[in-house]
Amino acid sequence: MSRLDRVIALIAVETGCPDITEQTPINDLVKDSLEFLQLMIEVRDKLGDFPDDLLSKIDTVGDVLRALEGTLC
Amino acid sequence: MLTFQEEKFAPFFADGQELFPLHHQELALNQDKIKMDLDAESYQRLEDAGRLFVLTGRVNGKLVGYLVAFPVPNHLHYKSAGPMCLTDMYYVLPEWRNGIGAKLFTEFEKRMRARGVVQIMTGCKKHQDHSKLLEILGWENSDLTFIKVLI
Repeated sequence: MSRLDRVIALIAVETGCPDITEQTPINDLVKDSLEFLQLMIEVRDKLGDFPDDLLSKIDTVGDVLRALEGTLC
Repeated sequence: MLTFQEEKFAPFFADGQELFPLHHQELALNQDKIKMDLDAESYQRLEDAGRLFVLTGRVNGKLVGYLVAFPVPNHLHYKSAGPMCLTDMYYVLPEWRNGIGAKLFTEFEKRMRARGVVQIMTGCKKHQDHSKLLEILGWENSDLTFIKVLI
């Protein structure tokens, strides 16, 4: 399973939204900022880490992957 | 596309005219006694003195959220500590509250760090408690605020 597939699988489980792709906006998967943060914490706990200051740049599932890889800029 | 940017007060104030009444209606207490009346001239004077910070969130250019704060080079109680910054107000349109608020605060923190600010301070209404969100972002609950209307 690729890193992207792991990100997608985890986010799909956490949000209960199975049909997500790299392009899916995270905003579509959460109902408020608290859910957004809790989802990001789950991702970091299970898949790696990225600094808080990248949170404002995360728009899509693909951005989560890039944050974990350190390539989101 | 969502973007965050620091803005001058005047264009923010112009674009904010649709949002400010919504903000006030949702959050202000004692609205029958104390009316919303933003003092644009005083905000402008603060900006001219370098004491105003305006951060906006825009989706394809449309204003959907903002955070306004008052940076000070030194706090009266902690003159030698370094610059500090107190939020004045923040708001996100209800239909955009799916992560933008958290991003607004992380962007605020990032920009304050870049300015060398040593402490940032904010608050929230008791009837709209953001404690959990702020604590996840690493903020510490330090104060309780009380009001008493005298008119």
